Order: sequence, then C-alpha cells, then structure tokens
Amino acid sequence: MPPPCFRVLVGVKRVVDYAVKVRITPDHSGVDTANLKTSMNPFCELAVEAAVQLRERLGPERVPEIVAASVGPTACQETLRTALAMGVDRAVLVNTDAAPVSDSKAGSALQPEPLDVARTLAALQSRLQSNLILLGKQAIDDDSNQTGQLLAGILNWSQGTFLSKIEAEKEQDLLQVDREVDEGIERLRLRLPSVLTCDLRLNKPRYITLPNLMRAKTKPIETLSTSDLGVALRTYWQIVRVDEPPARRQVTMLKTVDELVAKLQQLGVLDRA
Amino acid sequence: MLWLGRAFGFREAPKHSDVLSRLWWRCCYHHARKWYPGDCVCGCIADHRTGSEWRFESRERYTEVCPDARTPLRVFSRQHGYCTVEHALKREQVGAVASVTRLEVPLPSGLQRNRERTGVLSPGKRFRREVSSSSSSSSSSSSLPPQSTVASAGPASAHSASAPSTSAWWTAPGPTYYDGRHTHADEVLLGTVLDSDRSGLRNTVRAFAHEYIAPYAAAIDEANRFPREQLWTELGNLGVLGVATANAYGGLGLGLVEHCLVMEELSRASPSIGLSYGAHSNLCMMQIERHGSAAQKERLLPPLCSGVWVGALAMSETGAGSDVLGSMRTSAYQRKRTTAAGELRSGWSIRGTKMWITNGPDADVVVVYARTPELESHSASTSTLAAVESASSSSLPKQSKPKLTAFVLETAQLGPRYRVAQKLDKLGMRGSNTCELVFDDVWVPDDAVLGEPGLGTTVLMAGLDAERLVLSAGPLGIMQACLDVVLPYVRERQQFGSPIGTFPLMQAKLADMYGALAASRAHTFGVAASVDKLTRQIGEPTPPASSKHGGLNPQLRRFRKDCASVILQNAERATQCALQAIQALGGNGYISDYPTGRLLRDAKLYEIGAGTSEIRRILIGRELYEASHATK
Repeated sequence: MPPPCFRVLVGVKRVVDYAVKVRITPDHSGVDTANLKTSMNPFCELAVEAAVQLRERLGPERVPEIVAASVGPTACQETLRTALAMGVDRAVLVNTDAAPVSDSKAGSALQPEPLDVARTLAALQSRLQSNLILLGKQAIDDDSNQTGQLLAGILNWSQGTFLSKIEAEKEQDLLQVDREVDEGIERLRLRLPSVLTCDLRLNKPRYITLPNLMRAKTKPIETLSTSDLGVALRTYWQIVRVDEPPARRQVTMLKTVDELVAKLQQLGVLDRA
Repeated sequence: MLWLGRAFGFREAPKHSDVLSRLWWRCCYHHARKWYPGDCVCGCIADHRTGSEWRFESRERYTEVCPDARTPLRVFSRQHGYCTVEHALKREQVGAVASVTRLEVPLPSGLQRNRERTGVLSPGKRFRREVSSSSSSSSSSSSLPPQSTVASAGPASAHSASAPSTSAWWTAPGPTYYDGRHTHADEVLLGTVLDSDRSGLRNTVRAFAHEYIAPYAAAIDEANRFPREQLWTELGNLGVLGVATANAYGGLGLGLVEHCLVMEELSRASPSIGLSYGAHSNLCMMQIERHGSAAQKERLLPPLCSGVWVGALAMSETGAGSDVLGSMRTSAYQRKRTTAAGELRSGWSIRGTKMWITNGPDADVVVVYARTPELESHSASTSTLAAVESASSSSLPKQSKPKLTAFVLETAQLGPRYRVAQKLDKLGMRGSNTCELVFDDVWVPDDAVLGEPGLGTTVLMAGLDAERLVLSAGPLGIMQACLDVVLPYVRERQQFGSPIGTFPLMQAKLADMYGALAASRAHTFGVAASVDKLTRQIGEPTPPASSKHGGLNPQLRRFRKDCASVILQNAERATQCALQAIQALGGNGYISDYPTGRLLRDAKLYEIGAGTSEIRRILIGRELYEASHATK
C-alpha cells in the first residue's frame, strides 16, 4: 500500500499591511481601508511556508498538490500570487464582489465573517478533495481566531491549533504537532484529515525570488463565486462602534523614589506618612 | 590548461609525469590563491555558495562518491546538510542542466552547525586545506609537490591567508531605518512606469534588502569587507544579478527600468552592496551579453547570474581616468603559445595595470580593455571608430587615436602573472572592494576577445550609457535612505518642547530633500523607460561593433546626453541630500551611531566613479552643441 498522500489546502487572507497605520472612519463604523497597502496576513504566510516545507520534506509523491484559497474581492488575486510565488501549485479565489456580505446598515465594505469563511472553505474542500487544511491562527485585522476551529467542527476533522511544529509520520496518515499553550508545549498526534492553524514560531517564511515571482504569473488562479459553492455570506455580528485606542497621556519622568512618593501622595494615591 | 585533466583517468593512481604534476600544481595553486570554481581534478571541492572547501579523506573516497571521476566536479548548491554535486560531462556544458547527474555528498559537520546557528544566510566557514599526504593513500602523492610550498609560492596567497576564518563581523544585525514597505516620492512613478508587475518586483527586492542587507550595512562599512559568502549567492537566488540578462543564460530578461529598481533598493539598504551589484550585473554582465560570442555567454553568464562568480570591469588606470582612451597604457600583443597538450594556440599577451577596479579582489570574471598597438599601425586609414569621448583627446594629434581591444577573462585561469595588487582603502563605499589589478604578460587565448580585436573602443562606449543610467539609481537609493533616517528623527527629537519637524527651517530641509528625490526618480525612470521602449521597438539592441555608430543604434545614441545628465544630477543631489540629513540630525548626524555620515561618504563616490561630474558636464554640453549644429 502506498503511503498516504497529503492534498493540502491553504487558506490565505488579504489584510491591511502590518506596517500601515490605519485610521478610523469618521462615523466610527470601521477602519478606513481605501487605498491602503495590503498584503498577505503574516500568519497565513506561515501556513503557506508550512505547506511548502511539508512538500520539501516528504517529496512531491506524498504531497501531490498544494492549493491556496482566498475568500474576498478581486484584489485578493494579488495575495494569491504571493502564495503562488512561495511555491503553491494553484490558487482558488472565491470572489465576493458579485455577492458581498449583505448587511442592512453598513453596506458592502464588510468582510466575510469567520463562520462563512469556514463554510466556504468546507465547500471548497469537498470540491478539491483535500485532506489537510492549513490556516493562520488568526488574521491581524480582526484578530478573530475562529476560522480554523469552526472549519474543523463543520468538517468533523481533527484539529491542531497554535502550532509551533508539524511533523508527518512515515508511511502513516498521522501528524505529530506541537501546540503552544499557556502551560508550555502540548504535543498531539492527529489522524488525517486535519485542520491546522499556524503560530509565529512554526517557521520563517521564505523570501520570494524574482524567478518564482515571474513563474507565479503563469500558474492558474481559478475564480469561483460564493453561489458556485452554495454559500451565502451573511452578518452574524453587529459592529457597534470602532474607536482608536486611547492616546497615551503625557508622561513625566521622575528621577528619584522620593519624588515618586511625593507625587503619589500629592495625587492622593498614597497616604501621607 | 586545467580542463585537460579529463584526459587522465583518476581511478588508477596518477603517474608522475610532467603534465600531471603541473596540473596538480595549478589546481593547488588556484585553491591556495582563491576559491576556484569547482571543477577540480585532485579531489577537493570548493563550494562557492558558502565559500567553503573540503577534501575527501582519500582518492578512493572521491572515486567512490563520484563513479565517473575523470569528469570535472562542480558543486552547485547545498541543502539540508547536503551539497549537490553536478558532473558536467564537458567543461563547455557546465551550467547546462540537461547533461549532468547529481550526487549527494554529506557536508562536514562544521558547516551544518554553522548553518543552524545563524539561520538562512549562514556564513560558510572556510576550511583550510590540509596537507594531503597523510590522509591520502594514493601512492603518488609523494611525487607531487607538497602543498605548503605551493601555497607560499603563489604570489597572491597572502590574500587568502589574510582573510580571517571567523565571520564575527557579520553576525550582529544592526538597526534599520525603514520598514521595508514604503518609499517616498512614489507618486511620480505611479501613473507611468510603476505597474503592478514592477511594483511586485520592487516589493520583493525591497523586502529582501530590508531584511538581509540593511541590518548589516554598518558592519559591512566598518569591516570594509565584501560579504560574498553571506550575500552574493543569495542575491543570485533572489534573481537580481541576472535581472537584465536573457532567460537562456539564467537571467530574467527584463529591462533597464527593472534594473534601476533593483539597484535603487539595494543601494537604499547598503550603497556599497549596490555599487558592487552595479559593477557585477551591469558593467560586467551587460558587456558580455551585449558583445560576447554565444560560447562566451554560455560559459560565463550562468555562474554570474547565480552569484557563484563575481564580475568586474577594468577600464581605468592610474594615468588614465577621465582620458581613458587617450592615456591607456595597458596593452595586448598577439602571441602564439604552446599549451600543455602540445598544440600551438594563438592568443594575446596582456601587460599593464588597472586601477580602482570595483569588485576586483573578488572577481572571477573581468572585462578588460587594452590597447592593441599592433593593430594601430596598419589600420589608420580604414578606421571607422566612434568619436572619442574624452575631452582632452580632441587636443591630441589625430594619428595617436588608439585601437583598443576588449577581453573577457576568467581570473582563475590566468595563472600567476595576473594578480590583485592591493585592496584600496576608500573614504566610502567600504565593503565594495576596490583594487589594482596587475597583468604581467598574462597570456589569454583568442576566444577571450570580447567583440572583435581592435574594436574595443566601440565596446567600451556602447556600455557607458547603460552603465550611467543603472548606476544613477544608486544615488537615488541613497537619497531615499536619507529620508528614511531623517523623517522619523524629526518627529521624535524634541527641542523647545516640540518635535523639531514642526519647525519651518527643518521642514524646509525635508522639502528640499523630497523635491530632489522626486525629481531624480522621475528623471531616472523616465529615461530608463524611454530607452527600454525604444530598445523593444528596435528589437535588436546591438548592431555589430564594427558598424559606424559604435555598436549603438543611432536612435539609442541620442540618449547619451540623457543618461549622463541623469547620473550627473542624481549624484550631486545625493551628496547634498546626505549633507542635509547630517544637518537635520545635528550632533547625532555627525557620529557614527547614525548612518548619515556613511551615506555622505558613499554618495560622494557617484560624483567621481563612472565618469566625474566634470566629464559628464562636458559630454552633455558637447552633445547638445553638436546636435544644435546638425539641425541648423
């Protein structure tokens, strides 16, 4: 019996670049994302790198296909190109331009929510027949940290979250993974099919080389709509108000402990001796 | 010649013969002198990716891992503790992947450790060659010259011996002053040359340079060392070394715009790496691509593209700077020579010295210009040379117009009569090694001639325009680096209770710097895009060097003044920009903790190298004057 294959699906999200300073919209309904530089969510980069490394370690026979998928507007193609340049074979864009997230109040600027993304990826999985789904543990824009867990629940697959290490066992459909939990490292053995979400220390994403960047232009990006997959994007949340974090107040540097004590007493924090 | 080693089977113990011991000697000589590019007949392997070298324990071990040991060995890459060894069936096929078999040879453990310690860009450790007679069981080893003698006999051995074996200077990354994501004054390009493909390319190069070059820029400057082992093959991997080289030779086949984008991003991270990159990918590789024969290109361009080799161009001499054509003293004479195999080959003997050669100490390939006086005597009447560029040449008598010939040399094959005289201690651009090259009757075969004998002037002239244009992106990167330092500083630094960036006098500096950068960027990429477009329209960029337009299409010829004015303006603006940056930082700008002083020292080079500002002005003025005369 030949060793089991890993047919990998990697979910990537297009987010506002981490180096960009964002602004809140005047009506406090969200973040003004118009004309901001976007890039692939850094945790998704880790997932792509993990998939490519898996193939490098196991060989193309055991990892015959790596597909990257993104759910979002047409501009997500750019993000998928990045994944293709990193070594993914082909990409699928589930385009939400035609059927944006329906919301009575805020309009079309909303992103698909984790539950719908998970449903979309589940529908995509049944098309692609993947048996391993790699995701970032969370996106740096909404910090939801839900998609992977929801997806594993929908598919009823094993799940490994916050991974710092992924190892495939020889000749078996087992994965040994290390999770970063509060107490330390938790080592799990998972049976395929699995959903894995990647944490920061899993790997260091490779830099894209120019030949690969140019080769990525010739790799296919398939575009599907949400209706092709039988998914309707809805809103389950209501964003009440978005505010900037409170600005830091003016800080005074004090030189000695005595000064500090005097100041605290003056403010009424400390009792006078 | 070394490749004749193919003629001798190495499965049986080598016999003591003159030819063989000479082969052995040459091989050892090259190893002692510098890292010879791999195809070696004595069982040692030099790995240029890491700058490391090791021996097999014995000749038996060598034949064991290498079943066809008579073919040259070449180590290409190293992954996961293994190096991949490729056997080229013939020397000519090196680089042609179709005809090689691969073997995996475990690396010495020291190398693996090294790799783990410092991650992806681990500096390879240099392994000293050990005297082989103890470990090698070959019966003939005693009949070969002992290596220690060879090493000390090699005239340039001091160079390799002086290189410290540790790479401590490289290991500590310093601060970077930009986030690897943004550029100022992009606005001037957004509607024109910066489409999504190009900005993707630029982002890729920027991300690499920001992470792998910028943190080390200060260390490179301080150590005055060229990080060949750490960076050069990585740049080859990244694909930037062959950005304008044809796909057939391992390049990307892109144009001058992309070349300038790469040059700018590398210079922004470290101007000296940018300069070395310019000398390698433009001065050397573009000349080979433009004028080289198919055989020369196939032999030289793939290893230059991959960063296994370093390229240089040798034009200036101590007495021949601005007046390079008129005063060139390095000469080549036709000489026949009996090779080791006993055949009589015609070739050239080169004599002279070349000064201020960027990448010279590290170069594996050098493009050299030399006078060929033998061709001058009987060709005075038929000469159709292009106008001599330098200003003073017009004052020389006409009959003294020299005939040059361009050569492209593989330094590893030149023997002891070629040597690197001294590495020069420079004001700026430290880490981009510069030296004097000495040719003491170096004999090279006919196939080392680049272009045609006697037409070196046209080869030289045809390369200068692209050289000026691509190098002008260097000062662009420096100006960008100045803004990268100054903008966060003026926001953070407070005087009189508010950030100094709020003071109008400081804002005036920012405005001047930004304006200079934006104007330079628009100018550079405007000219580059025009040249690219015209080159594509013409299709064949290089008419034969013998044509009367000096190897350049007449339509492209009129860009000469533009290429010169781009670098003239950019270079002077960059120096001013760096001065402003120092002033903006005040006391901090004057100390070496901040990069502004280094940026000033680096920027000054571009007013001197690749033609001084004075010569550029004369050139532009003369071109304009002559053009106005022609239209009248």
